[in-house]
Amino acid sequence: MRRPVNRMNSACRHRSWNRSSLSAARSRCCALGAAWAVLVLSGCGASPAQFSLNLVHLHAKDGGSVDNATTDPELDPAERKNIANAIDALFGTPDAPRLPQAAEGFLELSKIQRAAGPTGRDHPQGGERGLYRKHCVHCHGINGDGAGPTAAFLNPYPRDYRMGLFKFKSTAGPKDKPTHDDLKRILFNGIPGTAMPSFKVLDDGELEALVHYVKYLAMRGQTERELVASALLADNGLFLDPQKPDSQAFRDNMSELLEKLGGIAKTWTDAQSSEVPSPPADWEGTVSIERGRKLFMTKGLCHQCHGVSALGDANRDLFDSWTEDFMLTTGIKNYLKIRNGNATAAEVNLLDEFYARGALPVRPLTPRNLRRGVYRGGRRPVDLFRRVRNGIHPMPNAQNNEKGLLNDEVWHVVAYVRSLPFESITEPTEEIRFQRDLP
Amino acid sequence: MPRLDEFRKRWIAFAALAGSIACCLLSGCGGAEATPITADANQADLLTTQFEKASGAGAVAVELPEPSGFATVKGRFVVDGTVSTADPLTTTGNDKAYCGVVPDDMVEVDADGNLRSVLIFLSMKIPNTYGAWIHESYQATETAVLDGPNAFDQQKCRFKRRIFAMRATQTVKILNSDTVGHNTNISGPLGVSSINPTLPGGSSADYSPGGASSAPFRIACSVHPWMGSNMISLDHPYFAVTGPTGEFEIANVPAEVELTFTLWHEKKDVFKNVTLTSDLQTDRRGRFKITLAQDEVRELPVKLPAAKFN
Repeated sequence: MRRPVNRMNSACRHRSWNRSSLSAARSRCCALGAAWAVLVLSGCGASPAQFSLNLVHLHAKDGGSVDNATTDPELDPAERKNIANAIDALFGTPDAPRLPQAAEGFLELSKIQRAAGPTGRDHPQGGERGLYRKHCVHCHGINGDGAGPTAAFLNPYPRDYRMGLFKFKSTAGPKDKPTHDDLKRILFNGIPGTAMPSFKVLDDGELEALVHYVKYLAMRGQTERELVASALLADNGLFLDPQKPDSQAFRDNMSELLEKLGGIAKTWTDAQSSEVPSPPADWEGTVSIERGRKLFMTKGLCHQCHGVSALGDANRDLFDSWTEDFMLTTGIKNYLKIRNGNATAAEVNLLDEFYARGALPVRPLTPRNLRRGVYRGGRRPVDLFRRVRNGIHPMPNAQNNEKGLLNDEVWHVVAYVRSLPFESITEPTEEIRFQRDLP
Repeated sequence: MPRLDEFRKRWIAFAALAGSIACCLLSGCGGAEATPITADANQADLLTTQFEKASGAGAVAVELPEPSGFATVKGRFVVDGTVSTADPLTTTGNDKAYCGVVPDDMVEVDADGNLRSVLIFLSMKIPNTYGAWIHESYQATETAVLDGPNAFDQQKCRFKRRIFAMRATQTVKILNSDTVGHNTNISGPLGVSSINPTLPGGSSADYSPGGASSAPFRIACSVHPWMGSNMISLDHPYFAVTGPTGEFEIANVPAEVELTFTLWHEKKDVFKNVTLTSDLQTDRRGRFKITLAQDEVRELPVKLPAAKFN
């Protein structure tokens, strides 16, 4: 059997330089040239990694609106560019990060530098460098926007750090930052029920570098949002014009920026784990679980979202804070219409504008099905206590304060939640029992 | 042989085309995506130097002229023309029987055209001390607990106010006058507290902002996602919100200095580039500048075209 490759080689060897072979060579050269041109023009040559402004947030704050589709952006291209310049001046680039003075109390540049930049095995302290790009960037993106190449295929989407908001933390307040250990625990354990894997294989130095880099990206993103807010309120020419450093406007803007940087840094340095009291003596006994069930259906309001069967099927008309961030500020308020595909043409067009700027397709939130026994924030009793007591922010989960559940009551709800995966779903006819039990 | 060459030529052309398409798609030429905005290294370096200088020097105090005495600003917001009635809000299964039909009250205008829920506030940094800039009469309410008619309440599955203004040092009672449960998710910006308490029917919680915001921020209820309101927390007492009559009054405002006020309504762009009176015009951000004489009572009768709301 004659192989085609030999026939081709043979044809090449015996070919003479006639008109058709010249034409073929010319075609080949042209095709090769075109391919190179496309490669070069399309950026396949290795250019340094760059951060880009958060275009979704920018459009939400400046230009995007369903009330007035023709609203022109207030910030012109020069002003937008200068916000990017200011962020670069404060935080550097993905290859050469910098830190503003305000961040030096809680971030270490050497650790950030180890996580930043291209991957390699020649880190001065030994081991690998470029850890973020090796382990995280494909989901969380170079900007920390949670929109890396794989993000659109994941459910839930990876975290967008740029709002400075985190869900699974031991701190109490809705917008309190997680502690350093909270972030490290997530890296170490991963998040069950999501695509976030465990990074137990990394050594402590590598984990530390990544935690610092996540905090760096979060501070960078939050600073950018504050700069956009300041630029939109400024009325004195180009915001932070580097050509006019002695002007009153520059000094005013700079003063405000430094104040805001200090404010963001303080949210990180103030992060403290909330206290968790000991459970009551009878905790997780039959009585405790039954009390928890009643509280789940009444005072705790848990059934309003998780449903009386706790399957997470009661309220699916909510979106997370990252989605609301661009939907609410622009007038897309009717959740049900979006969910049911009945949005107006203006709302659909506006959503498309956000998608073109990098927003991932909007997904309604699904309250957790508590019968599966998968708890993203951790399955330890202390984790569940904090989820019920403090809420899951910035998700809609509400805090239970002194007017809601008392500490012992929170523990009973935790007992009930922990019993749910083992409870028969067909036996209780919860809805009937719930209605019967109502005062 | 000529057939082979022809085949090769076509194959090469096809390969080049396929390669080009693949490169375009991979490099992001496949959609109408917005162009990324990245930094200019030279300009960023210039700013770096300035940041380093400023960080070393610390924050620069804003210099303001000294006011002389106090004055009053009052007025009424009226809509000229007919504002179309909004459809009721779409409600979900949660407490539907209790909540009933929930009207969309974002734009509330009475039969005479008086516009409710307009916020007017002083939007400039002023010294936070009593005397020249803040009138002594405001000292008594600096740390007041806003309760009763001044509380922030919710009834029949809607917040009773679309915009709530308070001083950063005050505390407000968050009431739930319904028999069904709510949660009140107050999402403050940087420097302002955020809370999200569960409020069973008839209960209440306290909220203290602890810091000032430059613009209103959002309040929501997760149990009833159609519920929405706004709040602003300020580090001075110079603000007012119009009630059902569309009227407002801010007394004891610093006089003989230029003041910047902002007008705000939840409906976007209502106060963008609006002529308030013959000599007063707002800018694109709803701001206007005004200088009041000592003891002057300045009237601002503002008429807004209905087209702003339709």
